[in-house]
Amino acid sequence: MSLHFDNSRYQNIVTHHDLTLGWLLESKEYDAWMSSKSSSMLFIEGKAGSGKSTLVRFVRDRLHGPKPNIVADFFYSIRDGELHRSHEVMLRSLLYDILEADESCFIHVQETYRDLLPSGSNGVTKWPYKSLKKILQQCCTRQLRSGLVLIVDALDESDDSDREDITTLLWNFAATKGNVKVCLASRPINDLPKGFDTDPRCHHLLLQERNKQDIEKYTHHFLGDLNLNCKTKAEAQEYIVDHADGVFMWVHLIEMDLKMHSKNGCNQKELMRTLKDLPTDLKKYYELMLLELNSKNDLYTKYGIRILQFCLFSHRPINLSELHQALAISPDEQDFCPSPDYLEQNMSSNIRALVAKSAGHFVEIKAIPGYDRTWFHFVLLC
Amino acid sequence: MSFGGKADIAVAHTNRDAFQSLIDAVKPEDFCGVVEPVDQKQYLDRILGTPTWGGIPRNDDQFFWIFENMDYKEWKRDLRTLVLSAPPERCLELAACYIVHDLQSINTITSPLYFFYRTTKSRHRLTCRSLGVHEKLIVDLLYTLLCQLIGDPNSSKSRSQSIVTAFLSQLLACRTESEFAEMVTGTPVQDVKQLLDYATLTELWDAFEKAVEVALNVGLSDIAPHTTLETPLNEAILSLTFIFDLDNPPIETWKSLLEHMRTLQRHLPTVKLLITNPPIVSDLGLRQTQSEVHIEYDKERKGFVSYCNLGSLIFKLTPMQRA
Repeated sequence: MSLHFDNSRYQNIVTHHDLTLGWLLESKEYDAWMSSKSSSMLFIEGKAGSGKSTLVRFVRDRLHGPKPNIVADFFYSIRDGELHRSHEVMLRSLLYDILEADESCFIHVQETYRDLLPSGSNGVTKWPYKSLKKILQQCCTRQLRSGLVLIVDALDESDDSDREDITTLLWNFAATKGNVKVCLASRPINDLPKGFDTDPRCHHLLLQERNKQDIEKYTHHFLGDLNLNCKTKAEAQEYIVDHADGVFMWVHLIEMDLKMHSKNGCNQKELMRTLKDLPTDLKKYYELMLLELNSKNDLYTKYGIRILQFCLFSHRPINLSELHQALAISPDEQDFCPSPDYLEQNMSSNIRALVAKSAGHFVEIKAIPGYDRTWFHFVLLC
Repeated sequence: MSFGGKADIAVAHTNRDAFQSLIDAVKPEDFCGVVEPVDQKQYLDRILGTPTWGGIPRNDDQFFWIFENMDYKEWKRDLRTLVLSAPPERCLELAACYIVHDLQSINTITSPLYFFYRTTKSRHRLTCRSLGVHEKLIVDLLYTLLCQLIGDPNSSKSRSQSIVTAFLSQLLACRTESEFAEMVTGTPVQDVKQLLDYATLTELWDAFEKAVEVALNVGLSDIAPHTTLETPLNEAILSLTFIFDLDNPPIETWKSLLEHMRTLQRHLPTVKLLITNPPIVSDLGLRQTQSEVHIEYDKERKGFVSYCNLGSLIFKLTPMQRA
């Protein structure tokens, strides 16, 4: 009975830079949400790439204090497949976290569990959606041994159907009599319940209005690595901060581009020109990167395209060893006959270097705790 | 010889009749004075009146795992036997008190009968010539339950009297002629003492069963004079619940107790049983049936969580690996 779901998205979220997010702890919204003795919601709203998930991870990682809360979380992810967008899976995952942490909630599950048990022996029994909602509602109204914090990230990436229903449900959790804290992050969506963001129990953070200082600090930090004089550095900083418009991801892409050009020997003037030529819109930036990948015809570009194809279109996330072997098989090979000799001759001598060189902008190799292999992860949300 | 034998029989008949007539005159309060029951109510009131338990403030919700458990709710409705076990820090002895309290609030013909083993630890028993140590513990329990039955606030005076008479008459029927020859009639109290002194444990259980049967039948006719057990009355109202908090008695004691209770349940279908704090549940030899259910603190949730993890592992595998 697979109530538990391997929501691997959390592991892939970039952790915050040391210079950033300190403002959150001093914000009145966060303070009111954390210190409230009654149920409430922290609603983090932000543009794509503004750093919502990193902020949510930051919030989540700070919940392990001397008086630990019961934390149940789910990180929707459009890039990890349908299951990671499913509301049912989200509810299952939250319920599992609560049940694992607090034995008292099991009594709400007992009946459904026993009903499902005979048919659940293969571990993939479907939990009735309505039951999941009802059970979670009961758990939220229960006096638990410690506070309950529900964290749901990237609601905008969830399944479009029933999103309004789920938003209302989460809002109901945050409005229960007990002490349930809900942290919800999303791009602007139209599925919010009426009066949601004006209710005093809802503490609303609009991220792009809050992260300007973080962008300034971060930009100042990475420009320091580029050997720019003070004037150019100040000019670059001003340009980046003015054009970032709260989108941290754009700043990060700029950083990678400028560092690459600097490493390739560009002078300060060329760097500034490059900076100003890059699209200020995130979507256009991605398009440009893909076009660049497609326009070249060298060996690494071909590898880059294939790496991207394997990562994007494989039935499940692939690990490094699998990609290593897959790349060894040439797409032009007419009479491919697998053999140890063939692999020895065609496998890259350094797969990590090949991935970094060919598709470094798009994919990264990550070791995920709990897995015995190294897995790929898409850096970008295309 | 023949004269002597006839004379013995004559004495015995006289004694049996004399005993029977004196037994009929034994008042319920006199009977309870003789058997010296262990005061369970005093213990119950003391425990329920204590604001802390083991130094920890009591929390109304601490026994959610019992009161909100499906099996407990089911047992209250119609199951026969329920066993509760938990680690010591879960204070099952306190839970047992709450359960008695919970069941006392239900409208039944007979109030629940309960016994906390710990109340007998420093007690010296009445003399029972043929009984060993562990049997004396059971005798303590039987007399205590019997006096609770007699003193049930739901009972009329005549019902209490019928219970006492039924119990003693059953014991009297067990005595042989030669035993009667040894017995000397005296006051009702002295006669009761003699009868009890001669009784074996099995005889006491049989007499107890008789008393329970009478209690249930008289109780039923009290509330509905023309009703019989076959009439479809609510089973919960008719039922009689026994609650035993065992708290580590000798193994022979509780094994024997359970066997006798099973017999009682076989003969009287409305008898229900709850056992808390059994020393080793596996030794109880619980039957894996719907009529004997065991709730172990947090066991089902732990199994469920492990099962979920296993399900998750399966879920992560590729279709080929699953196959």
